[in-house]
Amino acid sequence: MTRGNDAIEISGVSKFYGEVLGVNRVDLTVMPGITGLVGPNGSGKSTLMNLIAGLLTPTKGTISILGLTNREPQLLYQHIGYCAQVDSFPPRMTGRQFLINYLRVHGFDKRSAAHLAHEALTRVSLLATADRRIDGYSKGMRQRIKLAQSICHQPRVMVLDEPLNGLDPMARAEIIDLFLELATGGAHILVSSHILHEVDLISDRVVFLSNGYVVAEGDVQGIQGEIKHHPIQIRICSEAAPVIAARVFDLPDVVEARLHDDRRNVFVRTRNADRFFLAFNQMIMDHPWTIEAVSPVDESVEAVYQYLVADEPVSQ
Amino acid sequence: MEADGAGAGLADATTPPPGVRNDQPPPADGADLATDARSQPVIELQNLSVTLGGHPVLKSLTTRVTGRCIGLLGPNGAGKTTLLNTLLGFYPSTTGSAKVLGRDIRERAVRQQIGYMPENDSFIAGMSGVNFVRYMGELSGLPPEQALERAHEVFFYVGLGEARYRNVEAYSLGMKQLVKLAQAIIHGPRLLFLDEPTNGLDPPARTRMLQLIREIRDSGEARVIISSHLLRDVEECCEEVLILRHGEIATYCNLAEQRRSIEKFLLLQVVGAPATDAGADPVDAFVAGLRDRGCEVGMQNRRRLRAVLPPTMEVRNVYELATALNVQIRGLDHKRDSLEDIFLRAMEGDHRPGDGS
Amino acid sequence: MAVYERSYHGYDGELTGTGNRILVISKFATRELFRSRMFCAFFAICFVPSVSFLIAIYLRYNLEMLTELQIPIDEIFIIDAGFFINFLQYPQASLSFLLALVVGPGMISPDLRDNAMPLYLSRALTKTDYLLGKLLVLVVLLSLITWVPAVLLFFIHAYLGPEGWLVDNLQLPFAFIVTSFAWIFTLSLTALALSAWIKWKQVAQITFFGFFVMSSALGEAVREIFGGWLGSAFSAFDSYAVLISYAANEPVPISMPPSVAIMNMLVLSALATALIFQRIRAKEVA
Repeated sequence: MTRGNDAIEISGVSKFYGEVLGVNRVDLTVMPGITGLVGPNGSGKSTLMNLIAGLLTPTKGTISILGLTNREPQLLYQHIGYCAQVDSFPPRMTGRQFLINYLRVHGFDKRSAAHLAHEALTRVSLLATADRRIDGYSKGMRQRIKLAQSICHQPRVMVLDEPLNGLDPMARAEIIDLFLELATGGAHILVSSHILHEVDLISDRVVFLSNGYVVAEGDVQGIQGEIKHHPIQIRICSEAAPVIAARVFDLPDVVEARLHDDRRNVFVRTRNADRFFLAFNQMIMDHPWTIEAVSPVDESVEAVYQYLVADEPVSQ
Repeated sequence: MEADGAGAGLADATTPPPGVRNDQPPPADGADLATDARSQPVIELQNLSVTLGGHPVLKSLTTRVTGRCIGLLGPNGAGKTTLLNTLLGFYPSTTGSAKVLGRDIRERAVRQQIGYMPENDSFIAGMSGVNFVRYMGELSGLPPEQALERAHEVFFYVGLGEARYRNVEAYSLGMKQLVKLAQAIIHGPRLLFLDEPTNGLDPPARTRMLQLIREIRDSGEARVIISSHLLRDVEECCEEVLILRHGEIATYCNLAEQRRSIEKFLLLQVVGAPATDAGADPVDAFVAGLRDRGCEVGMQNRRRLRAVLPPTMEVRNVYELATALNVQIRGLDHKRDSLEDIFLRAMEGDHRPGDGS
Repeated sequence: MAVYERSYHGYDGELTGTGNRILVISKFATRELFRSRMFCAFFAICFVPSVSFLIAIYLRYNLEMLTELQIPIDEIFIIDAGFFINFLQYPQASLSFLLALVVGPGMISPDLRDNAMPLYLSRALTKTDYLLGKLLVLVVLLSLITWVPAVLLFFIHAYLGPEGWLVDNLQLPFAFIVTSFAWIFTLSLTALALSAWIKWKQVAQITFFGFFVMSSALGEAVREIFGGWLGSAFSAFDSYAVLISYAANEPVPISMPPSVAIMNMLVLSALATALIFQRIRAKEVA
């Protein structure tokens, strides 16, 4: 499926380091917007990110980033911003100098470079300390300057490895807003993170990796719907939980209704979510129950992660 | 996915299962409440000030912190790390005093009862895991045989049993974090300081770490102080939070008490039948219907809505409307103050006197 | 029937005292050292001169063997104060220097390299305790090849030798002990300071070697060119030699006042100690 110059196409890509597997037979199309990338350490996330950023060449298969490959590095790298997990800065430089240097290398003239650097610094809220040496930056500031570097040249593709690492809660919220803003502008933002609820919050689509394979990709509710062999689990919180448990169990697709020890929560498993909810909503009309909460326990990145990627329970 | 509260073989029916947020903090599992000494303060600060390199970093902090598990939060530069380091004796206080578990921090013996898990990598290369932790145990005053026994025990407890004879520098990041926890608990301290305990851990490892922390908290044998930027982690483990800002205490409060449930503020997840060509999207109709009835509705995306009900409406009425329009209500919850809300309020300078400050 | 669940246990057993903690540091450091076979061999070799001198003393008083070999005893084997001084000064000073070189520079850097200091200092340990623990290893090892054999040899000779020699020469053991300690502390603290400031053991070792040998060579050169004793004021080796002789009431090889020699060692030790404390911090002050 070709979509012109708007997508990142990964076809049949494998990457091996000698005999060690990075990723195997990956087929993905990344559209504009925010795509989350999750998986345990060693699952091939970094490899995939490096491939998309054009820093690695696949052992097999092709990657096309907005119609370009890394055989045209000068054209390609203009469009890519990369925020790595490791810190490595030239010594004795200030934040501003670092960005300006980077921009000059990309071919911007002095004035544009200064202007773009200033803009990037403003966006990551580093203006106040822009003229201090990076050597003296705190962890949070280092993270911000890395982010600034990945956005300053206004790339269309941003590959960000754990971009919120080391940021305090307010900074996290700020940077998340920044990502949402950039995504609205049509950029492709690829974010890898271990903090699953954040991924859930910001991503339009999520790619799940395990042992070098892509085990699922898409939007979370859609993925959940496709995992047919797992009946979907729903939690209902109400004073009338015991009664609800009994009634709900009568519904055709319900395979399990479990009352929690506190007698206020019922966990229901059903094979058909749509039918269940319609029927349940009707039941609420017919009975004098007060419902405090209903939550689909599975429609989150954590839940899908657990089914597909990990063997151990993942907290929600 | 078992969600009935029995995790890792420990019958702990009082820990809420994942996904359920209770409003009450669970009572200590099996610990006698009198000896659990919830009234005994973990930390007492009296006008504690610390100046580093000429800059005042902590400004006259005064508070009494009780509770089993306390979150220490604050933006970068607020003095969180400095407070931690001062309580551990790494920095001297400029003025004022601090007591930990009832003893002044200047007494060397108080650190006998303390375990510390640093944020950064911290180990001695060239030693095997069990040897390293045993060394730390003996340094904490354990007799050699006890230290060796407990070293092995603690390795199995944190889940590193198989790797204990390998050299520490060869461990993965997650394993190094667990070793740091192991050396912090080997001498059975009464107070644990954990600095960013889930740093760099992938989701299963993070779950494991948080589970361990909750177990330690529930055992009643140790109080835990967690410093972290990840509010979710703190919410999962801590009952109280101490939030610092600009070197001062912005808030000290009990989470359960602060999390008011806002009656009429609903968070909804909806799925409508697919829109037909002629008709409107049922979800849009649903939103319009709610608004007609006087609700304020915000759409986060096609599936997530926020609705504030007017006094005349009940949750039942929302269901009525949904049923009529063939819209499934897949998720319903009342908005509660999350830790994030509490944190943001604290940052805006909304000072709340908590218990003991 | 019972089900044993693994859960967190506090520790309510007995605890060892503070002195013990210091010994723990020494114990583990020593264990590390003796894991290396090269080191064991080297350490064994350090005892060879002691044993040789022991044999020499023994032979001196067992004339039968010597007369058989037809060696003129009284001319060659004059065992007096000078004998012991020679012992301490020549083989043992060099060997103790080498031992400090081998052991010292690797003692502190492993703890600093991977940020283990907070783990030490968050326990009921002070920086002084830490330093004492490491220092003890060096002091014990170096003592075993300096004053301990010297004093033993002294008493063996006193036993085997002429009457009254012991009483006449009582100042010797004290001299040996005191001056050796001065020497030991100087060497140890300098080695530990280098270990605290230089990450790589080999580089620290080379620096250690260079520092002492250079200062010694420089001292000699200055003495050659300008005369007098000033050059030796900076050399620890020379200071040691002067101190031993002075303390033993023997003629001093270099006409440097002993007070200068003491100053040399004191200043070096003090400087080294200050440098060590500068580095063994839990956290850097921003």
